[in-house]
Formats: sequence, C-alpha cells, structure tokens
Amino acid sequence: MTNNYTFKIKSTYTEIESLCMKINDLAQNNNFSDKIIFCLNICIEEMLTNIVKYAYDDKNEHEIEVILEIAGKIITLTIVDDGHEFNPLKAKMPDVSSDIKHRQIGGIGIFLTLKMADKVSYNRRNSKNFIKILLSSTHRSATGKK
Amino acid sequence: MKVTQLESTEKTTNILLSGSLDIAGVRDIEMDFSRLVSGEQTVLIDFSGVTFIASLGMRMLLSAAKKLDTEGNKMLLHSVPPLVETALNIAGLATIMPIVKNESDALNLLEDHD
Repeated sequence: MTNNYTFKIKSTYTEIESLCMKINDLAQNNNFSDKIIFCLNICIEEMLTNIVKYAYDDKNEHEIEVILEIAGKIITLTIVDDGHEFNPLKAKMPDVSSDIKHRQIGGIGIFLTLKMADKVSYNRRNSKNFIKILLSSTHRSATGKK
Repeated sequence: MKVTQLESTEKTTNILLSGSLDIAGVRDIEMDFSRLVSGEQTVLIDFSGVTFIASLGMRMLLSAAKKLDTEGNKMLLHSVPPLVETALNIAGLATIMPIVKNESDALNLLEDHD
C-alpha cells in the first residue's frame, strides 16, 4: 500500500518549520522508528533551508513542492523547486576532519543529508530541480557504521 | 527549545540544553546561548534533553567552540542521546568538541588536561 502526500509551501523559514512538523506527525502516525524520523527531519530541513537560502536569483517568493510517499517501510521524499540549476550530489563537500581553527562553519547540511539518506538522486526538468531522497527502515547510515 | 545555566564551578560554565535544535529551536536560544559562552571559561553542556540537531544547531555550537578556542578554552558535551551523537559524529564535530558519557567523565577529562 502506498500513501502519497503533497505539500506546497512558500519559500520562507516559517513555512519550512510548519511543514517539518506536519511530516514529522505523518511519519510518527505511520509508526516509523525514531531513527528514520530523525533522518527524515534532517533531510527536509537541510534541503529546504538550502533552497530558501541559495536557489533564487531574485527576491520574489517562490513555491516549493514536497511530495512524501510512504510505501511499506520506505519513505521517498521528492522536493521540487524553480530555482537555478543545482545538483546537491555535485556540491563541494566540507572537510569534516579539519581542526577547530580551520573548520568551516557552513556547508554541512547537504553533507549530512547525503550521509543519512539511503539514496539521493537529482534531475533537472522544465526549469525545475527535482531532488529525490529515499529512506528505508532497514537503515544503514544512521547506525553509526560507515 | 530552552537553554539553562546550571550551577557552575570555578573553572567551568555549565549549561543545560533541552528541546529540538531545529530552525525554530536555534532561533529561540541563539542569543542566550552565545551570551553564556563568553569564551573566558570552559563550557560543559548537558545534552540529555536535546531531541534533534541539524546544521543550524551545529553551526551555533561550532561558532561557540571557535570563540572558546581563541581564549584557550574548550567546549565539552555530555549525556548526548544516541541519534544526536550520530549526527554530530557524521559532521565531524566530536573531534572539535569532545563528547563524553556524563558530567563526571567531563570533569575527569578536564583534570587530565591540567
């Protein structure tokens, strides 16, 4: 059985916050583990704040579409934005081993998402970015294993 | 999200964080937290009540740790819930701010360095 939920939000932090809460509730009602819900929250918050911060070349408000698909023990999150082309898989990754003096303060969000999700894919279609994130309850990344 | 200053010692400022360090959580406490971490004293943070952390929260911790480092002081986290610890480890923050089991381990670690 597959359940699909589609959300359309404006590109603001306030809307990200309330969407995170709604999706959190949905995942909890579907009895997903705390671990998956934790990862899901990281993925949503990081990807959406990244879009709001960097995707747009104008100051207008944009619409972001978020589709949550729950199929058994698998959650698929699709995020669609009309910002400029940006493939998170090709983003420059921070050096998480540098010492305190050299550690960069930003850039960790995409890195965390890529590490915590089971699979992330990217597509550019009709001048839009499609980021697809897969999380499954037989989870490897968040167990602490490399 | 709440930040509380606990009874502190001669050498350390003790802080309790509780709640979710998400966008709203960081906004709630960022100013108070930064005020408590003056840089002049090593900071011990009780993380037992923290249910979530994403990059905004990590950014807040990292800038505080950097401020402490310039004064020759440290930031230690203790009683960190497993999922939060996993996220901090993935981000490589554990090498910058030691994560220890509990408050007494934190104090022992500081004594060893003296």
